[in-house]
Amino acid sequence: MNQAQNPLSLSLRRIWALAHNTFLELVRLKVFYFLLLFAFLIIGSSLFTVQFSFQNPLQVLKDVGLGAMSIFSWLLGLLCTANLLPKDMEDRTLYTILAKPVSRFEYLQGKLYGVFLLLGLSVLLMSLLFAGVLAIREQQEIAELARNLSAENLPAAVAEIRAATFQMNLLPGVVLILLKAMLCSTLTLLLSTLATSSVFTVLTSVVVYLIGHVQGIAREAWLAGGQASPLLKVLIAGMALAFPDLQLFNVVDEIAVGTALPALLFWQVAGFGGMYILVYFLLAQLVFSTREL
Amino acid sequence: MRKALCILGLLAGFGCLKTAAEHYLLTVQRSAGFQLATLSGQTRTQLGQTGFVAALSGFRALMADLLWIRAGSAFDRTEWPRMQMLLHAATQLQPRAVVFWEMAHFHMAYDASHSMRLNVRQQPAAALRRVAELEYVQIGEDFLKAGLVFNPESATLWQRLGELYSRRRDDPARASAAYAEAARKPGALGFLRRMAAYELAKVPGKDREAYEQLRSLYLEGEPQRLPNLVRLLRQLEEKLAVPEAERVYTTPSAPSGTPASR
Repeated sequence: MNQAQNPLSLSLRRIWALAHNTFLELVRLKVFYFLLLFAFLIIGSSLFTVQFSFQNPLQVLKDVGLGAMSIFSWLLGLLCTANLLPKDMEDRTLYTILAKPVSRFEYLQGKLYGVFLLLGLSVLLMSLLFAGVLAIREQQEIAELARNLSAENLPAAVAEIRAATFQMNLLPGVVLILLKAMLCSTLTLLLSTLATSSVFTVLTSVVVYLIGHVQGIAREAWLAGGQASPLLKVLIAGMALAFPDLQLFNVVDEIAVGTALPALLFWQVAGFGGMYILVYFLLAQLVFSTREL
Repeated sequence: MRKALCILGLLAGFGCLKTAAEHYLLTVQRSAGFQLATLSGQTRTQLGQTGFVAALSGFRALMADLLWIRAGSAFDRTEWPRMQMLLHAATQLQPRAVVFWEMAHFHMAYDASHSMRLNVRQQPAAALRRVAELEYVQIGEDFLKAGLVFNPESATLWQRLGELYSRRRDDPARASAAYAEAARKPGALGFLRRMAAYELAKVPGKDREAYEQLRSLYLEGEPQRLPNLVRLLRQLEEKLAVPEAERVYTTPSAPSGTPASR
């Protein structure tokens, strides 16, 4: 049996070639234009918070930046992944690739890693932009303080501003934003292997995203028991079992206000995210390996 | 069909394993101060349908900021009840933001309550104005206490509670306890221990305790020997009839620069 015909054959070189190609394809689709939108949002909110924010301008700026990073990375992953398989089928690239000694397992992995590369680069660029705007706002705040405070009180106030602006804790928070986007992309890939149209994949992914954020409430209600009707209990249990708890990855809200993220907790969440990605990818592979093309 | 059933079965199997892990992770996160927000019916009313969905979809902090900005508009128009509701919703969405609790308490216990006291046009009866004033002081206190449930290690919130008891409640015993608690928290400011002692000195029957605290602060050295502290110490030594030899400010070996040596 040819090595590539084995559904689980693995060649890092072939996977990398596919991932690289997918990444280049996505870049050529000019997906980075979304960064302009992100920049407008961040710079706009930076100006906006100066005018309208109520005593808390840096906090608002951080929340807007991290929230925007979260939604843009998710949307980018969703839209890129939902189109991967339908596009390759439509322009026949998929058949050309699979006719070569490339297994479906390698093909799916290559495609997904391509999206992951794109997400990683996008989050990195967004983080740099965000840090830049935050640094400018920090300098403006310090300059404002220097005008209004005496030399005696200035160092303490400046230290307070600095501590409220950049926290090393933001880094693991951003990594978890990236991980959530990667998880959502893998889920979208799973849906895309089941679906026949990308519109269906996108819509279902959005619903899964929304359900994933309330899954925790359903799970806790299910585990607590309570007096719900049997039908409702079945629904809640189904929701808790089938969907991932995306709320577990939303730790930046608390990090932004100064809550320290313990290293162990970070690795636990990251490991859990990795496990989700692995399981959903293997399910996607299971579906794709037997799919009529 | 078989494939779909197989996938559903695998998902359910994985679901059983992951549910326990998710529950464990949530518990760990909550104990570390994460995922403490609650989305009550009142919060939903303040956010509206879209905002509520956004808050549920991972944009909780953004929604809290939005409510905070709206509370700012309510403040500009002195719409205190509306401001209170908006601040409540904002603090529920972002309970780990100490500044939200701090400012919410301040606007209620000081701004709104003061406004009630002076609101002669709407309420000519002084007694009723006083009742309204105290109601807002209570709301401010409730904000601080709720904030401390979520941020028990916040020196700022304990300090504000001490200030509220001291300035708005005229309750030096509770003020002293709150200042003392604030002083024990990480990042506490240096004057908090002095404030705890000053307030304790106002409590009837606590003279000896207050004296001991002031004395130990005085003996720490020059940075603590501020005019207020020395004055109170002297008064208490007189009041408690402390023997001359034990009085710190008259001790011959007292460091130079103290009132006694001066």
